[in-house]
Order: sequence, then C-alpha cells, then structure tokens
Amino acid sequence: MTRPLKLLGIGVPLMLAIGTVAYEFVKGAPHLVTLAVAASAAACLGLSVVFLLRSMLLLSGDDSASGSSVGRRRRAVEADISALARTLEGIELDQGIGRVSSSEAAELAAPLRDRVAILEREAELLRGLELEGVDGEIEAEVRERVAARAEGDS
Amino acid sequence: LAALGNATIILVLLLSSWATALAIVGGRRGSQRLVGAAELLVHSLAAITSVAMLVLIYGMLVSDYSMSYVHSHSERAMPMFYRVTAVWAGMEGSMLTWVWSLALVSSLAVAANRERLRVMLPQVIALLMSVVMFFGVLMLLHSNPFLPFLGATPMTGKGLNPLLQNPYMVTHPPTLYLGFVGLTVPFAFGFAALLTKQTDDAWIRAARPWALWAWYFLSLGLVLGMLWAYEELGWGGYWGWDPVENAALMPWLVATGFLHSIIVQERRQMFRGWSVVLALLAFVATIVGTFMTRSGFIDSVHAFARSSIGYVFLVYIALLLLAGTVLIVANWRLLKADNEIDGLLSRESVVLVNNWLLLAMTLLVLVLTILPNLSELFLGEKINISVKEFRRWVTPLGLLLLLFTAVGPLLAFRRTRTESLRRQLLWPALIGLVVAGGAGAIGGRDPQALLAWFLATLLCAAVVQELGRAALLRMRGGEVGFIGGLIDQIADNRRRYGGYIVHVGVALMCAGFAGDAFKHKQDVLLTPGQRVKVGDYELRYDGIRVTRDPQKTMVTASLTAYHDKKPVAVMQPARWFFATRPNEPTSEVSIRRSMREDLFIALGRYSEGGKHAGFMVVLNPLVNLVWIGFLVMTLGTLIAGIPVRKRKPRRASAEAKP
Repeated sequence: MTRPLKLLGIGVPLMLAIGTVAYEFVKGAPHLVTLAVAASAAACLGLSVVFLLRSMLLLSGDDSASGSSVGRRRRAVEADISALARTLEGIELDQGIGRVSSSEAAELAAPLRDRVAILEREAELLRGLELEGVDGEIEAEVRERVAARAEGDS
Repeated sequence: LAALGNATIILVLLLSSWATALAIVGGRRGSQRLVGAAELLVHSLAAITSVAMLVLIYGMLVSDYSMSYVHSHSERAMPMFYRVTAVWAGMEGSMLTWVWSLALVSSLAVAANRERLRVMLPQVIALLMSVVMFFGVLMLLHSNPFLPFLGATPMTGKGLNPLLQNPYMVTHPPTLYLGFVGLTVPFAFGFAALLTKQTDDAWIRAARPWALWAWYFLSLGLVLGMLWAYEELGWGGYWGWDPVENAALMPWLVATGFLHSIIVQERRQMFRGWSVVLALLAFVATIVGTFMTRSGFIDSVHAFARSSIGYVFLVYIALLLLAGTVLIVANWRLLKADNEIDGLLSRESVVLVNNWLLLAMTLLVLVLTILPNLSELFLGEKINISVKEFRRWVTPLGLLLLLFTAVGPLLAFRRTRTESLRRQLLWPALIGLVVAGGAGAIGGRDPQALLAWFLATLLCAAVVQELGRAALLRMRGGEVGFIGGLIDQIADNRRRYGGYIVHVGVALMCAGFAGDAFKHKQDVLLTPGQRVKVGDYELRYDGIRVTRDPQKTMVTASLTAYHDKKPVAVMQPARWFFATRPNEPTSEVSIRRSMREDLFIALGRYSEGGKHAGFMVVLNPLVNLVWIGFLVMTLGTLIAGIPVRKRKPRRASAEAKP
C-alpha cells in the first residue's frame, strides 16, 4: 500500500470524527458517551469509504491498493509450520509418557513431518523472494516451484 | 437518524452482494485483483455495519423517538447502560447486532486468513457475504430497526421489558451472537474447502481458533442465560429446557463434536467427512436456533413475537442442507480417510462415539423442543414435554458423554493396550468410587446423580494423574522441579492441557447439575416475627418496606436466616414495579451462597403493609459448582486458545529434508 493511501486511511476517519465532535459541541453540550458514539460512527463511515475507494482503485488497475505481500504469505506458512510443530510435540509427549511406542510415534508423525518439509521449502522460497524485494502476485510461481521440487523429491 | 440508518442497511446489502459477485467472478477467473477488491469490500462492510449499530445506539442515547424501535424499547428514565443495551432487546435491533457481529467476524476471518487460505479465499468471501446478504435482506424487509414512528413523535418511550434490565441479560445476547456468527467461519472454510477440493488439513487449522472461541462464547452465553434465569425469573432453578435455551445448546453440542473431530483429522488424517459435516451442522444449528427464537413457532419466556419470518428461515435451512449434501456427496472420494481405526480402544474410536452421541443429543433436544408444535400441527393435539421428560431422555446420553470425556484422554491414537488403560484408570476410578460412595452414605440416593459424581471425580482424577505424569517426565529431564515441570508442560502443550482443563470444568458443572436431584423447595406464608424451618436453616420474617426511585417502586421483604441457631444472613427478596410496565413486576431474589448449597428466597404474594407474606424458599445443593466449573472452563479455553509464539519442529526439518 502506498504512503498516500495509508495517510488517507487514517486521515479520512479522523477528520470525520473531529468534524462530528465539533458539530455536537455547536449543537449543545453533549454527554461524553454520546460524543464518543457519534465520533466513532463518523470514523467508521470514513473507514468504510476508504476501503471502498481502495477497492475501486484495485479494480481500476492500481495494485498498490491490494496490500498483498510476500512477507504476509511467508508468515502464514510459518504459522502453519508452527501449528504442525505443536502437533508433533504432542506425539513426542505421548511417547514420553509411554502412551505410544517409538515405532507408533514415528508412524503417527511421518505424514506430519512430510507436510512440514513441504511448507518449510515454501517458506524458504518466500524468504528468498522477500530478501530480493520481490512483491506482488507471486503465489502461482511459488506454488509451481514448490510442487516441482516436491515432485522431484518423490 | 432514521434516514442515515436506512441508508446504511441498503449499503450493507449493496456491499455484500457486490463483494459476493466479485469474489465469485474473481475465483472463477483466478483474478487476484477481483478477489482483492472483494476482500476490501468485506472490510468496508464491517465499517458500515458499525455505523448502523452506532447510529441506533446514538438514537437510544438521545432518546430519538422518531424511530419506532427506540420508542418501543427505551425511555429517558432508564439508566444509560440499559439504554445502550436496549439496542439488542428487540427482534429488529438484535438482527442488526447479528449482522454487525457477522460483518466484523467476517472481516477479521478474511484478514487473518488471506494468505493462509489464498486458494479458497474467493469462496470464503462469497459464502460469508452471502450469509450477511441473507440477514441483510431479512433486516430490510422484515426487521428494520430504523423504521420511523408513524404519527407525531411521542415525548416518552415505552421502556425496556423489566425482565431484561439485568446485567446478565444485557451480556447474554451479544455473547450468544458472537458464538453463532463465529460458527459461520468454520462453515465457510469447510464449504470453501469442498468447493476448491482443498480438503487437506489447512482449512481445519485455520478454522480451529474460530470454532474454539465461538464454542466458548456459546458456553458463556448459555451460562449467563442460566444466571439470569436463576436470579431474575425467581423459580429457583437455572435451566428449564426452555426452547430458547435449547436453541443455543444445539450448536454448542455440534461445535463440541467439531472441535474434537478436527484433532483426529490433524493427527490421523481421518474424519475429513466428519469435520465438514459438523462444521455445516453447527452453522445449520445456529440458523435453526434463530428460527426457533424469531419465528414465534415456539412458546418461550424470551422468544421474540410470532412472525412470518420463520418460513424464510425454513427455506434457508433446507437450501443449506441440500447444498451441503450435494457438495459432500460430490466430494466423497476426497473426504475419504488416509487411515482407518486400528483398534476399538483408541482415541479415534472414542471421538467417533462422542460425535454420534453429540449428534444424537442434538437431535433429541431438537425433537423434544419442537414436539409440542409438531404434534399440534399433525395430530391436532399439543403434546407438552415437561422438564422431567427432557431429563429422562437427555441424562443417560449426558452420562455416557461424561464417561467418554473421562476415558478419552487416557487412550492413545491408533490403539491402547487393555493393561495400560486398566493401570491408568485404577486410581481415578477408586477415588471416584470413594466420592460417590461417600455421597451415598450421607444420604444421596439418586443413582444417576451418584453415577454423575463418580464419573466427574474419575475425570478430574484422571486429568490430575495425566498432569502429574507429564510433570514427572519433564522433571526427569533435570533442571526443573515438579511445579516447574508442570508449568513447562502446560505451556508447551497448551492445546492438550487447555482441553483437559476444559474437561475438568465440564465435570464440575456436571457434578453441580447432579446436585439438582437433591433440591428442596418449600412455599411458606409468614407473619412478622414468625419462624419457619427449611432444611438446616431457620428463617424469621421481619417485615416489608416500600421504596421508590425515578424508574420503579420496590417492595422489599426482610428475613433473618439462622443456621445452628446463629444468625448467618439477612435475606431481602423483593418485587419491583416499573412505572412503564406496572403489570409486569420483576422478582428480585435473595441468595445466600455457599459451596454446599444456596439458600434461595423469592417473594411471592403479600398483604398490604406486609402483615402476611408468601415466600418460595429453595435449597440448591452444589449449584455453585456449575459457575465454578464454567470459570475452570474459561481458564482451559484461555490456555488452549490464546495464540502462542511460533516454533520450529524439533528434529523434523533435519529428518525431512532431502
């Protein structure tokens, strides 16, 4: 997202809220809660307009309004890895307290470890792209490269 | 204000339909641009519904009676707190609250999963927005809170139903709505997974936090409703199998099944079909509940008025079930499990049995709830189902569920050796027997209550044993003591031990429910100074006083409670008469709480000056275990549900890399 868009996202709701507060004071001394509710409504209205505007910009071909980034995708993949890591630790705990044997634990963990491996490769690629400063619609490319590697491995 | 409110409702419809269309077209064309635009519209929609909500709140605060809804549900003399919360007191306002919370939850769900579920994001947006659209259309055509008052604007409002002027009732609806709308997210993710044929575990990992918190908010809503019934309705109980209570219980039961089912899917790549079906059914159950509350189809103490809206809900439910069935059948091969159940004594088996039990219980509650209406419709005769009937049918299923909740965590995935299970069950079962036996020895004669106490104790002891074993394991690793080991294990395995703590909460609540079998209820008529014996208590009636505030007249009785001949409490049950609704007095009960039992007194009829006063006195054994159990459940949910720092799998990367 570009700097002017970010500024617009904060500025419009803020201006509307301030305007509403001023209007309420002109009307008469308002109760603090009433004032807060009115200002929040105005700010929400501003926020809604800003999102609508960004949506229009995106439809008209301005990709800077999308807010999509390689960093976000990488963080999402890492969150998935983290969730799988917790499940794997659960299996290790079961093994530790003797609820499952080591062979059973290995068997239970195998598909999860495979999935982690695929996700780690994806995260690695994304980290590389991030370092190179590549941004935008890279989803398809990353997926293709991960799929090709996974195929090669198998 | 009304015009602004109406404009926001029209915008809600426009934005939701626009977002749906963009998401569908974007998904079909594979256009990130269109999907991105749809995503931004979801956020815009959340903001505009917030405007609608705030406009209505503002109308309540400034007592703008030009809006019919404000006139019907508020008045100037009401405290500001109740004027704000009157927003969701009626059908129209509650519909707006629903749409608002759904729009906010949709916005958060889309923002949190835009990268994680990139492939299915268009379908997720389309599904969420279509639900908003459905409720938006209903709101515009049937339940519009911004309709103007016809005729000259009145100077005063009708005020809020006095029964609803209670802190529990104020918080009960929004928490339930959060639970209901929260369950829309797993439904949307599950359906999107089917539509995009991405039925692996990605969608369940994304759906889990939403399902967990939705489940928690449903639990909270149910408990707040119970507390309200206990303290406000004045009949001495907290759960009367009222249709509206049941309407919230049904999605809770299905969501419980979903939360357990996804654990098995994640661990064993099984139950894919179960997870999708339960996500769908949990959502359908919320719509069924909404239908029951809003159609006027059923009689309830807190259902909204009878209306034609019910048919729309019925059609929507039928469409959802039809679409769900078609999608599931079409994707049946994708939903097949990678593994099979290896042994009867395994975690998978118990979760499977639990799923069936939870579904059976949901169906049973539904059938018993609507049976009076169905019998009237088809047989011409209303068959009423009493609380006793409900208990007769539901309690055995509940006890079976409690048994499996106790045993399930002791079982391993795949298979468990009988010897291992016997060893793990030995001490918990012995402790359970001692507790249940002790209760029997001191006079507990109800077999179902004794069984419930046995199972609840077994469950708690088994969890304590599990925690102890985990702490010892960490202790053996050196560096930490028992307590340190325990804390470390809980911190490292939050989902597991958070879940076990939730189980303990459920067990405590069940033990509290079982106490109801020993409830003692007595109606007494007293004159000032007269004493009466109720259980271990002796009560002395001291008189009645009448006080007033700008809103109401309060008639308060005073009684002194004695235990072992010592005064232990001054009880002050009252009846409040609100100026706007003088014929609907509320009962303000007086409760003396203790771990063993509650002494509960409600003021009944009384003569002028209080020369005679009637009271309903109830001794409620173990009722506080229900509330304590819920607090334990909250702790468990917090442990299991609060996001933890990211971590890397130990050894996994090294082993898995080529």
